[in-house]
Amino acid sequence: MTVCVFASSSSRVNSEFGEAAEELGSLLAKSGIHVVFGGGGIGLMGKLADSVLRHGGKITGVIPAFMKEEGWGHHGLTKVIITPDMGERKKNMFRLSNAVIALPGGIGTLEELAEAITLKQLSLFIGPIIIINTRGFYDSLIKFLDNMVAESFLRSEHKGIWEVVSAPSEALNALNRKDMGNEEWRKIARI
Amino acid sequence: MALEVNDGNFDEIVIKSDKPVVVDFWAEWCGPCRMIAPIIEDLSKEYSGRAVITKCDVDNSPQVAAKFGIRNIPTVLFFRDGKIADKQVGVVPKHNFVNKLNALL
Repeated sequence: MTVCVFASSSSRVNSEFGEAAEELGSLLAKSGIHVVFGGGGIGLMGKLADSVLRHGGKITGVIPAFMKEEGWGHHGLTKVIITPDMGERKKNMFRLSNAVIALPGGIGTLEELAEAITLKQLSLFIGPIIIINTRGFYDSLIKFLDNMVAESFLRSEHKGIWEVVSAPSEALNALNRKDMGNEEWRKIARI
Repeated sequence: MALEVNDGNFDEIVIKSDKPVVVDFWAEWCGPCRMIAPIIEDLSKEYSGRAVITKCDVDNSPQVAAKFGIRNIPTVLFFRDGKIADKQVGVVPKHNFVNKLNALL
């Protein structure tokens, strides 16, 4: 199994976020799950990668050439795919993965998570989408998504596309849960 | 067609060649690698007889990949007289490869 993890590249965040990234990395490595991520060397991305490698796991970075040239990439990864741009980065991350996990992050993480939800809504990505809500970081986003449903911009069934967990250990359990099949989401996509 | 090289034939085809050799390190699961594959195929036609154009699947050739420290893909190495003479990492336009190869002819 290959799991894509979206996460922040910020190092200035509360240490609990870093600990969550490290815990997730160790759990994925110990479960023999191949990790795909954005290839960053710092922040939660860096902590995730360091932890996967420290625990004997495999992790592939997918990073645009300009970021690599800026020196933002992690240097010890199992493999690195160099993409021409941000769009190709996401495309490759999705294509390689059976599931998506979002740790806390900024706009880049939000955008990746939003694309994952969009793709799954259209049955273009199949697989669990798990949001790790460390320190209640995603509470306001979840509220916003609820409001989309309340205002009929989203069907209530669509709330089944993603799953919110409070800790990395729960994310591992969620990965193994049954997922609604491919065709069904698209059938209800036209609301 | 670009020649397939691997752990078994790498020395024979790449290191011992008396012509410049291009090695495109790629993997099946690497999207950007597919973007440069047509360029490599073009080069194999255009430089026929003047240079040896090859491709190496990193998953099938772990020894070669480790020997040259290939972690980033796509990576294209340019060899002359058995030694690395130039390198290109990532997807770039064809002329970048042409310029690097021409400099070795």
